[in-house]
Amino acid sequence: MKLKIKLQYIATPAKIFMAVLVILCLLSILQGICIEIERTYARAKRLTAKEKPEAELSQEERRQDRIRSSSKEFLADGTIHLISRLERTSGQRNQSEKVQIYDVNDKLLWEGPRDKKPYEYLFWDRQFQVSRDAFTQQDLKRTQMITPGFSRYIEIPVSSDSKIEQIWRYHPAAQYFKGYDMRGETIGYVGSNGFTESKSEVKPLGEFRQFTAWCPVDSYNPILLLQTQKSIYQINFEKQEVELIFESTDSDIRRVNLFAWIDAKSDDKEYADPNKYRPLLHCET
Amino acid sequence: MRFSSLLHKEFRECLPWMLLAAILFVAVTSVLFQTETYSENNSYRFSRLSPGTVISSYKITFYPAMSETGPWLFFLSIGLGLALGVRQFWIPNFTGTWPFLLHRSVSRNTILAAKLTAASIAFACSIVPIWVGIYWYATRPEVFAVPPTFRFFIEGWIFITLGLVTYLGAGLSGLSTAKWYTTKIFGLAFASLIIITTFSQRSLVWVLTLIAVSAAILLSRIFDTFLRREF
Repeated sequence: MKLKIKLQYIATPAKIFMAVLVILCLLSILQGICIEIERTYARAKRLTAKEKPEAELSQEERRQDRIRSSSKEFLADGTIHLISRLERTSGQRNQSEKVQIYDVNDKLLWEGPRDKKPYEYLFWDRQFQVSRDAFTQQDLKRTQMITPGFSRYIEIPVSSDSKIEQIWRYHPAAQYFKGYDMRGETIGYVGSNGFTESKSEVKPLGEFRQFTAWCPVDSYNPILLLQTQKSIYQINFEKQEVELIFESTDSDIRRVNLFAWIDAKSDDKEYADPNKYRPLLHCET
Repeated sequence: MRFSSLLHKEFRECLPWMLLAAILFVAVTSVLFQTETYSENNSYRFSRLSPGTVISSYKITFYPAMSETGPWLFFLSIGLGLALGVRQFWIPNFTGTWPFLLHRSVSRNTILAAKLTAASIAFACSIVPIWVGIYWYATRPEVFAVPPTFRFFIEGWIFITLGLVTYLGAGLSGLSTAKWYTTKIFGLAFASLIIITTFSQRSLVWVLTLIAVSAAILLSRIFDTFLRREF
């Protein structure tokens, strides 16, 4: 009987908590359904409104509209060009995008496929963190999420004659890489102090921010450019080298931009001609 | 003596489900071990890397060896929890055996404790030893080149404890006298909510705390409902 009375003090709040939680959850599901229905309805309404014919623009209005929507590019001497994209012919999606290039006085200089344009414009270095292939802190968090297939690992292979010889696994909590040979034996660790043989010697790389990995043109073994909270390392697992590219002693690294840093093939999107450009790593703290 | 007799009776009822889960899990993992060791030795994982290209993240992130046991462990654990919960707390409602059990000179606490102990033993004797065995075997150096980490082992334990939470949720729903479409379903709904929440978490400590707290809530509700209910 005593247990029954004592239990009441725990069971009643537990009952209320459970009921509130379940009801709130049901309400949020219901809310989600309502919002989605409303969105679908609004989208359909917007599409119907778009189908109505637009009022005919005058020639001057069309010219102004084209200038407004043109991209503005710089030549090396500082000249500005206005690049206007032409609409694709319907049903011909494979054809190259056509552009018109105007000078600042709106004089047409050239017209044709974008990839055949005769001018070369200045462009910004590519941002490391918006790169599609960069592995960010967000990606790392996703790999650590519990799923029915367990959480995932980052593993970097080192091969020789197309045979895998070593695998280096990143340990997010310990902030270092641990290497295994193909017999499952530990071969070493990679930390901020380079390659070490024992766990007691390795020092953490620092709080993970992002990395980008690539295979050099003459190798199947990845090189990693890894950014932590305060440092940037370039790690070559094949040569067992850890190069400290940059270290910020005071503030955190906010942004890293790269250009011509990655040793890529000429047909790769990251390729930059090494004869024309020097490798650039632009770092903001 | 009374407790051991009750435990014996409850365990006898749990035995078929326990054996079924154990046999299924052993059969599945033995097949998976064969296929996984074969593919691991062939290093298929890195075949998509090519020189002079940037590597996208999905090419170097992998589930651990034996990760395919995960869904099996999870669903078997949930299934076992559901089966035991239904067997112990729902079936007596339909067969009308509650009064037969309660008219004996044993306290309700003893009856409930026997049920919960039998269910815990069913888990401990079926899925748990197999999971420990899998981890022990998979971490031997000659089996996989890169052995699973301790986190893999703990995540397996999380799946097993989620089975226990499901068992408690099913038990609470079974004991409730409300209509099935009202608060009767809350026990199972709460357990489902905990399972869903678990699958969006990263911190093992937080997940284990969440499971412990939810199990305590469900246990207190089960005891309270069982001691107060009129059969």
